[in-house]
Amino acid sequence: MILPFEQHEDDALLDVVLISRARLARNISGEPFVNRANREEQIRIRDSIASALRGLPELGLHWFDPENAPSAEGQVLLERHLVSPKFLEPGPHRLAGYREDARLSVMINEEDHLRIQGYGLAGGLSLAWANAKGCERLLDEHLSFAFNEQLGYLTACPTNVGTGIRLSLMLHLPGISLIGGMDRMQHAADDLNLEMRGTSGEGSEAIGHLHQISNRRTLGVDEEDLLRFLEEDFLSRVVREERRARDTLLSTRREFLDDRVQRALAMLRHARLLGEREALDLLSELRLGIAVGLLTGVPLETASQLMQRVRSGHLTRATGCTEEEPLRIQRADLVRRELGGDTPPSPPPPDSM
Amino acid sequence: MQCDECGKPANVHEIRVENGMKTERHLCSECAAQAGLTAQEAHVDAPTNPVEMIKQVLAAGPEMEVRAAPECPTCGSTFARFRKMALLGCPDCYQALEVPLQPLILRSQAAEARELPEHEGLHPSSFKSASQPTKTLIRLERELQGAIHAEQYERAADLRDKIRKLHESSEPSDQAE
Repeated sequence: MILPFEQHEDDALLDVVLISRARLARNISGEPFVNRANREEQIRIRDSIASALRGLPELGLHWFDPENAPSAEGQVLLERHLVSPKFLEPGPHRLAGYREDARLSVMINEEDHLRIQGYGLAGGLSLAWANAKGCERLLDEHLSFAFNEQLGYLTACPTNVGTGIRLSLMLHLPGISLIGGMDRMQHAADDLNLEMRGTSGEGSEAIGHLHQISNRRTLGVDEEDLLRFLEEDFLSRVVREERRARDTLLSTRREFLDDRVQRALAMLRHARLLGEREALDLLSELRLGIAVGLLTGVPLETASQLMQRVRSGHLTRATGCTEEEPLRIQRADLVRRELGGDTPPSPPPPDSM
Repeated sequence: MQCDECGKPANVHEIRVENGMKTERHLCSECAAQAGLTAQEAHVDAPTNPVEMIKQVLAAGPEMEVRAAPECPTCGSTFARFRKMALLGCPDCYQALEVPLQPLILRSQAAEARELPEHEGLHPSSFKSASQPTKTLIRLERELQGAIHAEQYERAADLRDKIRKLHESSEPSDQAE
């Protein structure tokens, strides 16, 4: 079981950054890529990587086999970004490993033979990179990765060739959104050769003002340079802009902002049914209110944690509910409990249902 | 890549395989039209996502006329298959499909560059290349000159540090970590 989502109040960028991730793509040399491998080859690839990983107990990995595990477990891993949506699609012989503290995960036989993902929290891109690199360097001693001098690590899709690295940041940008600055932000990201997407990756929508930003280029730029660029140039600018936007809203449209925040809090404290999307959008407003000091009774960490805990997979794991309506009830109950909302009258006896 | 005829940038690439012999021609649009090879302009919305970009270029497929597609000798994948899936079949595909693939990699990785940049960063610990440090040094020296010329002194200082580091690491020394 994965430990609860953790953030520390002393993380300097906590008000803007939710998750930092570094992903490395690798393939075993002399083997076809997953999309071209037959059943035997897929099994051989999976077993050789899994056996190398099992020989490294210091990584502390727990295993997840999507073919033989309840789907809610996969959903939880997906909501924590430890596996990708593609990994959970029915497909070749896949296997994932993850640390309980969610600092490291590996996916075997996703698009590439091996995807290593390291995680840090707010502003923890360096930590995320260190986690991924540490695992990769250990495996490098045991596995032979497809590589050539000109193109670097060879990957199934040429958009990953070279370092195979994807550094990504999950950012909470309600301020920039509310002052209408997202288009400009999108252009700035484009100019810097960065990809901007919604909450669940490629092609997804930004729910709760959460945006994922990652590098596009993987060839000819070394990992440390990329990391420095993202952390020092890009991230510090975005954080500054987001904070400035929040300050502007606070000083010029305080009532507008306060109204949104208080309405969100009221809904969250009193709703009896909450859909996932609605809950995330309201929690985003709440998080903004806490970050700018309009709400003082709720810690920022509670709002951040709730943004994970209200996701359907997390809720199913915690409550055993799988049906939509009971999940909406459970979600509203959880939020009311955590935010000091009212207690609903006792439910009617079961025979009256 | 330049046009074989007039030296302008080439955007039509023809690959023929006849009796096992591969011949290549790289032409600009005008010379291609004169040579009777059709090339239309790509009318696609500029996509932001590199995978989408490759898919769109592949779907539109106008810049590249592949008369007889090469095939990967290891896994049998063709460029047509890559066109459909946006995925290669095995590591050897990079070499086997190099000609049609290279402009795409260049476009998705380094649209501003004229030629494909060389890999920088981690490499397998077992990988030993005698030419690697020398090649990197030559490239860094070239970049340093460019940076000085463009009065980008901060970048020049970074490059100088990299060159120094590379010199230090390539010196045979048992002190190296």
